[in-house]
Amino acid sequence: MSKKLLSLLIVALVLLMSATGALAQDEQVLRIATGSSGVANFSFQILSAGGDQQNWITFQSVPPLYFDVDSNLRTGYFNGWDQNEDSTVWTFTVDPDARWSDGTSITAQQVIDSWQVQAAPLNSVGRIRTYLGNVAGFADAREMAAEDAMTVDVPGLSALDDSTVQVELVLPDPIFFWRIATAHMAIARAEDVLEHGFNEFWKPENNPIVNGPFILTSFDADQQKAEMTPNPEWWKDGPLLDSVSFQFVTDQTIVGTMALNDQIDASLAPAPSVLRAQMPDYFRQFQAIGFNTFWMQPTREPTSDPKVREALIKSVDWNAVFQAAFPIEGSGVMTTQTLDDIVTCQNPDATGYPYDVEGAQAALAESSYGSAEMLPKLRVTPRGSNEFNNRALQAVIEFWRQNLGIENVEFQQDPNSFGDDYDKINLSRDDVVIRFPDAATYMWAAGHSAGPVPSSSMLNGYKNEALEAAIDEALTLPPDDPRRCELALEAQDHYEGDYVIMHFGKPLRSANAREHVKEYYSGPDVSVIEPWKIYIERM
Amino acid sequence: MASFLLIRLLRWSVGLLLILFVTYAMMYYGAGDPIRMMFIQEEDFDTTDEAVMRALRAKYGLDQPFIAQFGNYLHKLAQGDWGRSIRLQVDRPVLEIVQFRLPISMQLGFAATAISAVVGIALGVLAALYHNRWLDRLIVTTVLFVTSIPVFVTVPMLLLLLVLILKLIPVPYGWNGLFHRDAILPVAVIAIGPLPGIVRQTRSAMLEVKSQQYITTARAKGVPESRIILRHMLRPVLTPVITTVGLIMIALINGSLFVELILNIPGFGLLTIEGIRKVDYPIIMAVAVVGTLIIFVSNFVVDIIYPILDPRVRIQ
Amino acid sequence: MSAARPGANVSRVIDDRSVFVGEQRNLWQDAVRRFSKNWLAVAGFFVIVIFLVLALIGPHIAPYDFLEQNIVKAYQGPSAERFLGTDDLGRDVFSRMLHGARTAALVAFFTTIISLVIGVLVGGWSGIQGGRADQFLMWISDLIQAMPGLLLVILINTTLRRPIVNWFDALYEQTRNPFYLNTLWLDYVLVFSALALIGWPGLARLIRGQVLSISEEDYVLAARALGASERHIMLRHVIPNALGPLVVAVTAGMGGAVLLEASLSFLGIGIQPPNASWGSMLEEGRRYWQIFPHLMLIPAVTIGIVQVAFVFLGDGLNDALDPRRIS
Repeated sequence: MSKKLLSLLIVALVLLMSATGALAQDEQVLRIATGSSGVANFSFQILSAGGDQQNWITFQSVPPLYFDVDSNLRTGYFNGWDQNEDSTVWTFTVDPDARWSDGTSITAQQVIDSWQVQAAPLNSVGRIRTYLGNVAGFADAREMAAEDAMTVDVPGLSALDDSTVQVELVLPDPIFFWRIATAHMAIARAEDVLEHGFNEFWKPENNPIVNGPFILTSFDADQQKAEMTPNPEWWKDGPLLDSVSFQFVTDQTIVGTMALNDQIDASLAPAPSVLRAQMPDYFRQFQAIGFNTFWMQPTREPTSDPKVREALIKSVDWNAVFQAAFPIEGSGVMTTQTLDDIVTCQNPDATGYPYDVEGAQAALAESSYGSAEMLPKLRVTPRGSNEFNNRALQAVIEFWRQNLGIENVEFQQDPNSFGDDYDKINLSRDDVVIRFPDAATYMWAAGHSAGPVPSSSMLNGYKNEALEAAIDEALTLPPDDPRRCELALEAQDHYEGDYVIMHFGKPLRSANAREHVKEYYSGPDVSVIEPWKIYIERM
Repeated sequence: MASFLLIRLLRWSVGLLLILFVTYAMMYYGAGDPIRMMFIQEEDFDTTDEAVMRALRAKYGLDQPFIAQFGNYLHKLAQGDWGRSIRLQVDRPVLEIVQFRLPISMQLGFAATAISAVVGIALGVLAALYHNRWLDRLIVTTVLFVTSIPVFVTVPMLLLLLVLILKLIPVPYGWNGLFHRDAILPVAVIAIGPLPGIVRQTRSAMLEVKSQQYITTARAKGVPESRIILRHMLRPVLTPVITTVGLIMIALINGSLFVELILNIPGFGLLTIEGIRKVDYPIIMAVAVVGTLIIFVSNFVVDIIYPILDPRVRIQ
Repeated sequence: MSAARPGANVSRVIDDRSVFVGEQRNLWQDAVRRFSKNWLAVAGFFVIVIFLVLALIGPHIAPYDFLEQNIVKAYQGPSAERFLGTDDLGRDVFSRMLHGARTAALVAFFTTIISLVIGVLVGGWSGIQGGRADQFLMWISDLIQAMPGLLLVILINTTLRRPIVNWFDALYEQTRNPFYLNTLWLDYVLVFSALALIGWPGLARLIRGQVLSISEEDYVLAARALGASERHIMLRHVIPNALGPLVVAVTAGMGGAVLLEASLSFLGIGIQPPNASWGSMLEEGRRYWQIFPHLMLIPAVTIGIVQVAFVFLGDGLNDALDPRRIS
């Protein structure tokens, strides 16, 4: 009796599936799974310069300038720039073709207004300091801003005429035009933000006016689905896609299954690397800045002792850590120095930290603690569930245990779990926030006490006078001056001599898109490069 | 009767207040400041940027001491203001989020309970009829084993089977209504959970009934076996089972966290875990309030209905 | 299947002491006899015994150090040399499973024992005392049960972690005993306390219900009328009669705790790597399962078997200990 029922049920189920499964596929539709982790937000905010949404900014809004997939500088809403003798005053001209989705031209004042909205502390655009921190009056404007101010007035920004933006800097910066070459400096209409609020203005119900190739036409925060359609007023080529749809998927095994089943074309969270054999196209690689390192905190016990840091680094076979992190051929590249391989210069002779167990044991014995037993607890975190970093850090801990006898290690995937002891974490992971390939700025970001890494809790309190002197000088030199490069390398030597950074390798940036998605790349700031060129071509 | 209900109501209200207080205290002293957590978790924030932290804390009233914060929360809640989400859906009223999410979990819960009850009772009856034979043991063991494997293992395995090998369905994702094919897998997986409880209870109740004299009498009188099972056995069996099913339903409408998490179904369970991961105070508080209220209301209803249904239960 | 025969109980009570002494031997002998007839329960019993033995001696018989990595030999399938293969870092899966067995056993027993102790104290006190104390205790356990369970577990885990960590650190500073350095113990303590905290109200309710209903039974009333002391009634009547349902609840709770620990690992808040627990192995294996299914299947199947064994053991004990079935 129940057997019959069961077979009937199965037949009905199969019929239902096949009827609905046969839906025709539209050719030029790009289906993206967004959502990088459990703490990600489903948002398409243009101005926040962070979060998952920073990957998709370029769909809606064009950057001022940007680097293409071969690291060439391209023009966005600015099409020209100039600087004075000592690089303290920069002028940018707005592309006369550039216009908003309501057909009006982009003016210099609108650019400044949008930047000033990003500068308001309330809007929590953390990265803005990296881009505009050196602009005259920026720091004061933020410090003095009322707690509920939606925008601030930065005196160093001014519109000379309708199409010229002038930026006055406190310190010379010969590469300021590189600095702002990122989707994080994309613009929106400040009046929209003031009217609807920073977290609301971009939603379709507020009819946002944008200047990118696509317009967000539907956004469902509950279903976590969104759709974009072409902007009829788009002023460059294309766009070639008829629509872009987004859905929020955080579980990597689900991402992998959906990609294999052709339910999504591209994803933000990568499919598990073991699926490489089943869809090599999805994992196809391109060159991109992808720095990814562990840092040891130099002001917290016990890593405040340089000898301890030396011991912790020398006791690890970094080749083996690389092997552990990237077991699948071609999933990562080994790194042997702080500077990434696509920045302007690197030390060609760098071989990485030596694997020197005796040296490590000697360093530990020389340290103020004397032995592994006396060493206070080490708190370490790979910050999240990324498989590469998790394996790498577990391998590092095992080397400590084998070679130094250190067992007193607290490992937490999620730094949240440290709670109030967050201020005691000894080892953490991040990238060097800089999004353009300049070696001197890279070293500034990694090691200068005003740079983003030493400003973050990962490395705060770190200061090396010799390193700062070298970087301070390097930053004032033109980008093509060989001295700029030499100084960056000098700074790197100081940095590595302090044993604060552990480099082992970086994941090769994979396309995270099926083969039929053409021209789909993300740039050094992780946003998709030139989304108007993307098209679908199935074999 | 009225005074009894009033005392009950009073007791539950004090209880709710206590739960809210404990939850808020746990978040405040244990989980920590949501703004700081935001800076920690979202890698692109600059943790030393005090200006940003100050502005955000002031915006959400998090710059005040614990008692003031909790007082403010209660004050607003009393006026029907559940607050706004800090990070989950930035600045969206929490009530709106709950109003969307709760019904989804409820629908999943109801559907799963219904299926679980039907399948469970059928299997239980079957097992009892074949008592101590291989079918009985097969049913009991299989049901137990299947439920012993965590949902986050079952779901990917089922997906591999149904999506990639059999190509029956696409990966179900998100929520498209209960009568959409995407709801089949989550409902089925949730329904597996309470199955052993129902099977076991039905089976043992059935075994008890089987040996009763009136069954033997009926059989002796030549009543057909199917009629004996349906008429004489099932009815007394169902009464205790229905109570269990009711309890299961109450547990399930609060959301099935793991299924919702893996398949990204925007239900109440997912809201719970998202709220905790992001230390979103108003969301966690709303989850505590609503979750507790559901249990309280159902207990209250039971308290009222029980004496009506069962005259033996008297109100003290 | 023999139903309860109250008459037999009453007659048993008439000459309480002497009958009971004779009865006691029968109760346990019968129980063992009935239990050994139920082959599912016996199988469950043996699985649990093996599980416990492995938990106890497993780490000592493990062929490899469960932390030792051999990256060149990562992702190996089962072989003669590596009984269950190796994981993503080349660690021996069999050795890790043995260590995981200890974790699972500790989680199962400590969680259940903590909740049992609280449950017996609260439930027993409530049932015996009655009145305001009963109302208050039951109100508290209702409140805990009313809160969404996982919300509570996760909140407890995030809330209690720091105080306990700092307490352990302080103890280490004082004693220099390396025991306090082990973060594994920390994770244990947290998981135990969180799971026990949501576990005890159910047990308390069960025990209170048993105490109340048994106290109303004719034979207890009769014993009381005959002047038996409360303590005597408790020990001789209430506890033996309440044992069956309690054993079922406890064994089910043990299996459930193993599963809950796995769930916590999935959420990233359970026992942390590189320490070995079946839950964390399952969660790590999930990343590779499409290519290296053994990494996920081994812990998944093991958890399944242990849980089923617990349930069968509980069922068997319940049937065996049911005093109504004394023939």
